[in-house]
Amino acid sequence: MALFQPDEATGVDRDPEAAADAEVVISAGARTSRTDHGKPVRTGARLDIVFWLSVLWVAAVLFSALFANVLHLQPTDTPSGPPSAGPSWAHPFGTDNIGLDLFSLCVHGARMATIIALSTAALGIVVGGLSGLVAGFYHGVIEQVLMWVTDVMLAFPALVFALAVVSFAGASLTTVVITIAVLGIPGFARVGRALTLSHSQRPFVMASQAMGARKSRTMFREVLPNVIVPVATYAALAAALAIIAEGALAFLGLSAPDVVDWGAMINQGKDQLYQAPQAAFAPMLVMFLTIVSLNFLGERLGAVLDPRQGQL
Amino acid sequence: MLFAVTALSFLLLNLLPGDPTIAILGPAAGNSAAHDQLRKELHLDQSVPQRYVHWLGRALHGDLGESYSTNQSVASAIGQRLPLTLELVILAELLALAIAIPLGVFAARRPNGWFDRLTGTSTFALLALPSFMLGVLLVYLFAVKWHIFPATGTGTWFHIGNGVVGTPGSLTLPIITLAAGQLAVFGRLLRTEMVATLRSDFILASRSKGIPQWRILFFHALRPSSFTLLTVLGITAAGLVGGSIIVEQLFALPGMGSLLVESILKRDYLVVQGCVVLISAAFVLFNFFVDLVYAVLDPRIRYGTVSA
Repeated sequence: MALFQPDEATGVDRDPEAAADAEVVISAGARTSRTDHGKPVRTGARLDIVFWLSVLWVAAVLFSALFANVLHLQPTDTPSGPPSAGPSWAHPFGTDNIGLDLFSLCVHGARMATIIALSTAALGIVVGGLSGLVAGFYHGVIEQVLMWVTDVMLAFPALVFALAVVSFAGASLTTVVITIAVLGIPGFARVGRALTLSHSQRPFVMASQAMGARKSRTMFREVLPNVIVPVATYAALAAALAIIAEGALAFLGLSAPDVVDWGAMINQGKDQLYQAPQAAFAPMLVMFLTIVSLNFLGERLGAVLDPRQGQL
Repeated sequence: MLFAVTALSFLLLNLLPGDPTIAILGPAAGNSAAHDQLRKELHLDQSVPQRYVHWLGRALHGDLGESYSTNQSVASAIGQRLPLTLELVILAELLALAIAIPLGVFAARRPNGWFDRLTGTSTFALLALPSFMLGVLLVYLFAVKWHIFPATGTGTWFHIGNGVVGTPGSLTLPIITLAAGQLAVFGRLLRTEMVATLRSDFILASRSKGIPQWRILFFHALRPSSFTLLTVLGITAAGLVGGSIIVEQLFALPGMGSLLVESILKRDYLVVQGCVVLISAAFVLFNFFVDLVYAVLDPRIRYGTVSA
């Protein structure tokens, strides 16, 4: 049953690592299940139009973040139109109750979201992914300690942690970014460990060890390439969570000050629901689409790369 | 475990950079006498372990210190605020379960059927709608647009319930807001588990015996499918606590969450500490109870045949 073509299924450019993943992908592509009526239904992942729309949206957010300053947009600190105006050509999202252009604010807000998403992904993949890899590959005390730390961190209310840190260390851009990125690490460690465990008994890993390769070499040369791509996929989900967490902080007025921020915009907009509901709804829509897109990317790519993910 | 968590959160707060006395007195009071005296009062001149032992000893007697800004004891401040938050969180959790269980069960009845796809899509959307968005949306729809729930006419809808906290009308929106996120997680999870359970042999056996569909779904399949849900119930309670901070702030409800945020804004060091430690302790206890419920639901754990 040729349900599967590697390039279409993964949607990523061919690179040496992608070839190593082919085996995992095959099992994903061949996944079918039966309904109550015994009719086989294909539940394997497809990269459909919604997936590409998500890619497009995330690309647009990245573009906004990079070029917000270069684009000729309305100023974000001085009113540029009539207060509480609805959408128009000059102000696509309308204006808030003092006449600030909401479209421009949303575009500038993409920067904060991007910083948070990228730093969470980077720190998560490097620190979380690596500790998960080590924990899954070297069993024993290392694994137990790492997983205990992970469990405690996962169990502790993240927002309370973030609030505590921000209140004691002060709400600056650096504190907020680091706090949120650190909160993302345990999730990566979990995913990394689970993937490592599933690969560490595979024939090619055993072959490497049988040929006398050092443990660390086996781990980095054989296991890591197979683990890194699914972990990077998880980064999309983690980035969405990070954006939500930062949004919550900003909504409480406790994120980085003096930064254009979607969460802070929603916070200000909630007091203008009578005069200018668009002041709350514009950032909400933008943030919602970003989170949905990231979730969708993560889920679809996860399902394509690893048959066990993406079912939840 | 309880000690470990309180010790950890205490350590965390105390090892962070930043001096609470500077936060309280302002940066100008760098090395003044007032600064030194305050450090003494807050026992900041002692080492962290010493402070923890000192704090723990008093905390065990119910003394969490005094609020710096109001001079009210931290314990009584928390005691005043806690009931509302508990009510909010418990009702939200019950509502989420009451909706998620039938939703998950019926979605699993025909995987990929229209109901499954509908609930799948809507829970996916709900997951991307954090409480601070959903809350604002609900306020707009129910208070501003449709006037179903009271909103005072002056443009601030903050005083829903006019300060009478706990009336059904004033808590409806907060509870729905809080329940929605949980509901999405629970529903999706239960559906996945149910789909797996419904494929097993004992379900086939029940079917062949002619047991009605609803009985199979709710009596035979639900229990073995509920373990993951239970685990996640413990884990997502963290999200619920975070959510209640947002919701209390949004709806101006005087609960623990708003106490925490107020204290952070006022730099009320001991109140923040008390809240954080209490929340983490409550959390450990809750997860402990979840473990107990496991044993009730799964006899294998009670008899020790499964190492959980």
